[in-house]
Amino acid sequence: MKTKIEIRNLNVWFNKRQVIYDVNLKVPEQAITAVIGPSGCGKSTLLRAINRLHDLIPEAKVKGEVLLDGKDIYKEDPLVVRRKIGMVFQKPVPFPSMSIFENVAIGVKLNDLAKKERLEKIVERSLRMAALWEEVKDILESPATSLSVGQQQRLTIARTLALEPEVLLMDEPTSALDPVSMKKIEELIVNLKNDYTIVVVTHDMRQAARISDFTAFMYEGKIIEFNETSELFRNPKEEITEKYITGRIS
Amino acid sequence: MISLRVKKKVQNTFLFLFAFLSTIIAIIPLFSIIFEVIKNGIEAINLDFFIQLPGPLGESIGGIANAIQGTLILVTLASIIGVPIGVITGIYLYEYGKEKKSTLISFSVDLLYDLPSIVVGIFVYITVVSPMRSFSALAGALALAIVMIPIIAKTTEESLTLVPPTISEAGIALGIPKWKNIVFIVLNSAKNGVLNGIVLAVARITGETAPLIMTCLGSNFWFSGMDKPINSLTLLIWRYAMQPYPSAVKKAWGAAFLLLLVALALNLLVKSGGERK
Amino acid sequence: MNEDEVFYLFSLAVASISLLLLALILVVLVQYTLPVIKEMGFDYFITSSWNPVFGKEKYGILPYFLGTVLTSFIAVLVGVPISFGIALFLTEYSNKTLKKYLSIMIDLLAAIPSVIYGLWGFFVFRNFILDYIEKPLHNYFGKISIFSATPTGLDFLSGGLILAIMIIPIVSSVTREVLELVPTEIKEGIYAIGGNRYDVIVYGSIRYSKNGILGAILLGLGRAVGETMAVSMVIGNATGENALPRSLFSAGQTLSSLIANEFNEANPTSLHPNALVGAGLVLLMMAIVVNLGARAIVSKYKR
Repeated sequence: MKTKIEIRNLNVWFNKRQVIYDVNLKVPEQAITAVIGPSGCGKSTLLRAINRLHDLIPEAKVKGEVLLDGKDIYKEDPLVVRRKIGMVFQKPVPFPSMSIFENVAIGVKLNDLAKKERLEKIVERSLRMAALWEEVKDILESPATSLSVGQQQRLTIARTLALEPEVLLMDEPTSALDPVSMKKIEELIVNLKNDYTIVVVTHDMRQAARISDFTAFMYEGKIIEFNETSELFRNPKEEITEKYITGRIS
Repeated sequence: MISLRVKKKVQNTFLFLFAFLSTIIAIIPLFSIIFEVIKNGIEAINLDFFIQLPGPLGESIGGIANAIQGTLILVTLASIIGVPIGVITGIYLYEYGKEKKSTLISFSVDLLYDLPSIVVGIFVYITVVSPMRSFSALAGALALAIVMIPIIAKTTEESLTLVPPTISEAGIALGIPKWKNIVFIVLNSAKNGVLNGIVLAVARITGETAPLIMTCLGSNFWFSGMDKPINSLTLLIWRYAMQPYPSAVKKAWGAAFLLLLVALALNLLVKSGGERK
Repeated sequence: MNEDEVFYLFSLAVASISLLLLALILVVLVQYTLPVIKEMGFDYFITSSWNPVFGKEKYGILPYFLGTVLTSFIAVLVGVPISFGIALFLTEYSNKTLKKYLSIMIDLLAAIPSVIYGLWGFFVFRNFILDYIEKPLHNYFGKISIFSATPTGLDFLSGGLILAIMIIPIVSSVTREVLELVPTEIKEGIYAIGGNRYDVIVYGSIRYSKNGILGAILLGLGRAVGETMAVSMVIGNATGENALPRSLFSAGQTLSSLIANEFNEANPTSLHPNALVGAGLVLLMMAIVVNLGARAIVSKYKR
């Protein structure tokens, strides 16, 4: 399988405190890669490094390389990087003063990526891909905050998809949701892998097992083990991985 | 034992009475002002009041139309100058205000906010009225704009600070350039608060008198150019209130009625809008 | 230069207007005041004669400085306890609905333009003060010098009391915020050792929040110092020696009311405008000092 993203010797510090140590990881294309590990192990920090979100925090320092199709994203324009590598957050963050339509269109609009006439098509396509179109097609002008939390999360996925990214990063995308919404999002993620490379950070091992093709286990800022999901869960090579998946550390 | 219980009871009663009476004492002036302004103001109000010039002092005919016109012109012009500067200053304070190099600017905005408004009037008199050798509508509007800028800057900054950081982050994650993210995502999310701040600043300058005295002076005639003196509701109240003619005093109350109506309406508008949010 | 840098420079330029304005205001006011100080020397600050007649010009702003100090002091002395009482009533004795409507009403006091306070003060409040406060005090305590002058209702006391009303909204709302920050553990701790509500407030809340309350008082003082219109309409507008505060019931003048009353009548070729600008400069300094103090205390407290 082709590698979409390759992380080489990645280190991240906040002020003087190091939170990511020498991470190396090859994320395969058009597959779902899960990153699991106990809370505080650095999995979210790793994910945000792939979207260059640490650029915004003066205290954060990133060293190492993140290659997208062989090119280091830290040597490119961060705006272009973020458009190619979309990010979905733990809690849905719809823009509160905007309608459903505007929420999906805003990224395209502010990046000057499409003419006005095409916006409607883009919005419809993105909402369809996010499995939300049927529910909102008649209320596109309603405020986004009127949607349920589960719908809001699919809306933010649609908003990211509207930019036609190549990679989707998801930071515990279902942890704020009820079980029904969670199931919907999981189905959605599985459907999306035909077109996108997806990295999901999750603290829910069963979710990783259900939806991902590959799994990386992180512990104390390091990647301990990376393998095909079924292999990693059935046959962990490291003792600490086994301890984690059997629930002896958390 | 009993005396202790009595003492405690007396203390509690005293405390309650103190709090209760304080509240009553503060509410009485509010109602007294509203009551007196309505009672005396309503007598002054008729059609002429809204469409006629004041006429010579002491005559019972005429109205305050030029003062209404003047206040509208002054407030509009001041807002055209003051609102954009205030909002952009607020954005600057929000985005860069915490950095060391901008300490001086955020400090100046604070001091400008504290400035007695009559000092602003003196400043505009020296820098605009004196060189132009004429009191003018322009000078009045400039003085009001200066009063407005720090108010709007601070409310804008505050409203922006209240937007959750996750919103700004979500915008950045979409690859939106930083400045567009501030203006179209963060500012947009804070627009209720920013608008409230603008409305409050407009209400405030509508009621300003002191900085107008030495800038636009007041006038008995219609607006006749930006470089000429102009009347305002507040100047008319101030000048007419202490005249010995009952007809002038009546016009002052009428103008106060109108002004109070606008001030209270704008403030209540903001309060009810704040709750819907 | 990318678009973010352009935006930074643009907003920096616009925000610098405030810095520029403040610097200009200081420079212009100082420059305009210098001639009168050259003429009068330090006497400008410490004497009381005031004569704008050409050839006999004399300017001393001491009475107006004292007038500002005295009226602001009355405002704080009367306004602060009332504000504190309101804050107590809202935090301790009101349910949600009452709290909501009462605080809206108190806030509306801040919404009333000051010239309307002046109008009401001149025609209504003044008579009330005269009949129910000044005359009784004068009749019973007329021998004491501060109550000795014949009351008219247009004097320092009226000026100070109208300011007291005007500072209530800001002082009570900051006091309320401060009181709401008192941790429940402190209150419960005092209840737990048998204290009543009085003990909780006197030994708990007030001690815990005394810096915050001090900040609120200074904010009110700042508001009172800079206020112009309402005071100018009820203070009686005396000038010169007559404006020295001798009694609460004598007509007086504050720095700001002096400027409002005389600025347009001043002959531009005399030193009169300069003397008035100087009064403005002193006023500005007082406002800045008080407000800086208030800001420092309040911001430190909130953190």
